Amino acid sequence: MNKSFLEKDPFILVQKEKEKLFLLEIKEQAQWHYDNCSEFCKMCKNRNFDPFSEFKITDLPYIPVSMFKAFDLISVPENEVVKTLYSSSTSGRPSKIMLDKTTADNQILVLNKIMADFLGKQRRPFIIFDSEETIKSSEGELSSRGTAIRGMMSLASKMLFVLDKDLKLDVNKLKSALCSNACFFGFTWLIYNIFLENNKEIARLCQSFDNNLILHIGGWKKLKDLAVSKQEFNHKIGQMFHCSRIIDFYGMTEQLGTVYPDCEYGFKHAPLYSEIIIRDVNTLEPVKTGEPGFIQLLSPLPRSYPGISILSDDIGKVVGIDDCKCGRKGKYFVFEKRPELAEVKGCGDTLNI
Amino acid sequence: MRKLIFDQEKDLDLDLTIKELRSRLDYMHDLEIDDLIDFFDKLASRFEVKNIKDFFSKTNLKQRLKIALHGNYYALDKWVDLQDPELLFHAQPRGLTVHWLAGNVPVLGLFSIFFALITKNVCLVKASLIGSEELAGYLNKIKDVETEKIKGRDLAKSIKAILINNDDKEMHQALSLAADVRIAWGGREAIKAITGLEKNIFSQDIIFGPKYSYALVDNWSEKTARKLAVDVSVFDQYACSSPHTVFVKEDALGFAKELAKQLQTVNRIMIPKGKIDPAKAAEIVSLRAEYEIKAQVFSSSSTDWTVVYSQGPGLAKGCFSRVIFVKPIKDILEIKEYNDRQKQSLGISLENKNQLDSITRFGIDRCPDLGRMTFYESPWDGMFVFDRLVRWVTTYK
Repeated sequence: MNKSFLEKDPFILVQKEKEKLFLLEIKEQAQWHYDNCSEFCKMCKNRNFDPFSEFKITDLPYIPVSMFKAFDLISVPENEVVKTLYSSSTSGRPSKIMLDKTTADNQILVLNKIMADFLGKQRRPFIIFDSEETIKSSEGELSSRGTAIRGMMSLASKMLFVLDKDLKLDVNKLKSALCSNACFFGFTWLIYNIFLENNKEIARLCQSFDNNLILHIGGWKKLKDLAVSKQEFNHKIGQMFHCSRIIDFYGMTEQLGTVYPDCEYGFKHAPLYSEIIIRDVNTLEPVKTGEPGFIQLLSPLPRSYPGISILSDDIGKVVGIDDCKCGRKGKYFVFEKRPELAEVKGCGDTLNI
Repeated sequence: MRKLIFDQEKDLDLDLTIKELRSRLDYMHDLEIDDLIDFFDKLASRFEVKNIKDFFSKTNLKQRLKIALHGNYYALDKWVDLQDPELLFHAQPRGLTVHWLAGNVPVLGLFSIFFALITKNVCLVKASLIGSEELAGYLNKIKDVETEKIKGRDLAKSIKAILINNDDKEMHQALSLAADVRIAWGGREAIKAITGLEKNIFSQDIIFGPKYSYALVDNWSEKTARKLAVDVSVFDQYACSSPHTVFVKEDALGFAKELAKQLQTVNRIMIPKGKIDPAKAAEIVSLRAEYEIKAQVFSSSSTDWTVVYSQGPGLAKGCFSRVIFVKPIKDILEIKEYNDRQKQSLGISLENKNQLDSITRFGIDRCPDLGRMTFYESPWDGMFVFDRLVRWVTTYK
């Protein structure tokens, strides 16, 4: 991985220029994983893909996100793994992601660059709506919540946890943490739970503070179970925290570092270090701008595991390229939904055989 | 939701609906079986679905009725001699048949409805929300058919189709108690729920529950693969008779490759695949990736069809949507251990059928030739359904 690539600003290159640089980096990583991860190599061969020949970004085989749940995919010797991450797993077994130092460092580097572009370079105090226990790793293993919170550390002037072990609000901790220019951070569903239980009290406490913002991540499926739309969430949470800037960011444990916060116009932007392709649900071919499909995310960052091209089962669409009013270049997109399987309910329901 | 969707569309008054249906029993009783056969022959000719067209054609229907009704289907009209030294027999309709249909393949539900009418019963049909419009469309065809003796508009009054919520226990219970025959198509949960309802102790249950089907091939040719490709493509494997695994004795890998070619051809020329929902597409993509690592996968570039060649033992879990597992087998008797009452159709392409007796001893209700797996037959799920829909009455000669 070329360090100068990672040091460039995330959103200044127009798409055409970005693609040239990106292809060089992703090609190098594809060759690395082909040589060092037998599973990735098998998949490439089955799809007649040779990373040592010329290819376009859209030709690079994608790995469905579920593969990180089914297999321990690794591209470095096990003794180089410094951290193992687990996804939140809303359904069944979680994804298992093994990081070496290079990958972890690169992920932190780009996370900082992306978030600084949205939050500004000046660090803010982070008021974390989670328990401090969440970021304690056990034998080098960390949950997705813990990973996300730790990722924020370098952006914060200080971090103040305001939930107890049972994920209930500690009002005294919140009282002493509150200040102006702070960032409220937490998982979407957890923040909403706190809203349901402590809405009035938090609203009263937050009234005298200004210029705060809310950063929240993940867990829309849990909110869907509570039948809460994004608009409703923003309205309620904004009122409670007495702030209007609410940033939802999209990201995957399988590609940490490259995160996709909402810009002020409500769109998510692919930075220099990652690329998005939307694939038609039926043909699996890339679709045109504006058409919905599966979100495929590519990034040359993962070195210790073959997560350079991941097909999620989320549905989204690219809204435009290089022309978002926020000024960021490259593709910008929206996340639409995570589809749920309609079970076969007929006589063809084969049960467990 | 409590709605009547056929033969009229309006809010449902269940008591009135049942009363109206029971009032049609005399009309049904007075119809003659030859006239019903003529009517269904004409009706079936208006269906594009080959399954319906073929089964209810006059010649086939007569044969199926004859076999199911102990050699003489005129027993539906009168007392007949079935070669008993002393007795005469008459098949009376059982009365009100209540059908709980499934949404996977709406056309399959027509079989139980038509069977009930042919045996002179009346039908109260609890439709599935998925496919209910398709079902109403099919039933409306009845109204347009007229033969010399039967007007479709009259016969249609012997069917009422309704939509109620699955959790409307009060209505389901009322349906169950009213039924002289309970006919249930569906998955495990639906069947458990229906059979758990209180019922009239003299009512008959006909259960078309969740079943698994697969295929067995010894020597094969391009044609063998073509026929299996058709079985996989019809209904996109959502029928209980659709194959999900095929065991192959000779050159299974070669068969997998040939099957892939044939699935492509069938998709292009005969049965183009429609759009699928994103969650199913994601499941297919994941399954392909998993088996690219564990085995071998041959697939369309789209989500249209997938062949997995796997040497792992046992039957593959059904993914549906034209995903078929090809597995090598040394001795065809190995599959015997997979068969229980949950296994329905074993599609076969075998040089000789000597071992089928042993193979089907504990499960498998039919062993059709490849290419015919999804054809509806009598018996189905191990039952002569016509026979289950009548009440046999005897008298001395």
